[in-house]
Amino acid sequence: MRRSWTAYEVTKLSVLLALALMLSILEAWLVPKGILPLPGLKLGLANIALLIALYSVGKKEALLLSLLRSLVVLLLGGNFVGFVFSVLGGIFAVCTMIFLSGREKISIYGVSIGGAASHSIGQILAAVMLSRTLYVMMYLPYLILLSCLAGAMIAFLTIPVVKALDHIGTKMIQ
Amino acid sequence: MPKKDGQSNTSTNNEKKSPSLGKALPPRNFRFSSGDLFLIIGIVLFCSFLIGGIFIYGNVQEKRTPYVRILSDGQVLLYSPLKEFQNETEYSIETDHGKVVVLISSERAVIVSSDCPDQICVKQGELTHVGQGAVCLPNKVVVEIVPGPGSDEEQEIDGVAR
Repeated sequence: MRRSWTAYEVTKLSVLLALALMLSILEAWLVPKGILPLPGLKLGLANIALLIALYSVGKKEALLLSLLRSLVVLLLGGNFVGFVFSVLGGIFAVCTMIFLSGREKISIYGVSIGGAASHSIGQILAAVMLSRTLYVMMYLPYLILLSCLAGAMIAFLTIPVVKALDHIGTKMIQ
Repeated sequence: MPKKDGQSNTSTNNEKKSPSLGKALPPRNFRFSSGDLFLIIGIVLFCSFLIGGIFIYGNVQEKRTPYVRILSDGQVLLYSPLKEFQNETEYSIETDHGKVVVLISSERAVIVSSDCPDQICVKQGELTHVGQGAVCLPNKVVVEIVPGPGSDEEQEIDGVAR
């Protein structure tokens, strides 16, 4: 049975959505297109917001956030091709992250790296579907390996935020 | 209080508890652990197998006659051996999105220009070997060098028979 959301959670989710969008814009601004070695390779700064949502709001909410983000980007003037890429990548990434985050032995680094790797797989699948050729599969291993580096960096950046939010949360409950 | 983590990896229950309103949130594992290492090793192994597979596949395909193939929105526009293009031939492909210009000669195929924002396909440069390709996702155009239906050996036999 689904428990209704508290105002605190809804607010956190909306702020995180805004943060995700801001980070996408910031990334497009910081990293000009074509500077990275592979087409489709991104830092994935917006994943910081996703990881925070997973760790401090909830699993379903993280999935919701990922879908909402893709939708808002589409509405803000993205194209449909980009939407398919981002939805497929997002669903793959969040599902993997949800699975990995439940494991005791795997830390936030593993969660983020696994998410980044499966994001690449989702994107390549989208590329295969859209271009209807298997040729783009050639990129996959390199894309996965590089995205793992980005994933580790994202986890490193997320840790202090989750800790701070935990601290605030504990205070609020008391 | 989850603010400060303990020094050891074997954390107590108290540390793992997350301040949610009675909801199960992921455990607070902020330290790189053995599980992560296994995960990364798994990913790297998977990738090396994939790279190896692609490499071997490419080597096998290399022996066959190179054909140039142009796909637009999944439909084959051109599929013929590179050798046939003794004179440089220019193809321009009109798509819903814009125009893609491909130049083909007996040695190579290259996307000269394209109406897409990122120009990734143009940056791919000259395609000379089997397995190489240039993809323009906005235009949904793929130019690739693919192995022909028969190997060189078969064609040599044909040549002898002639």
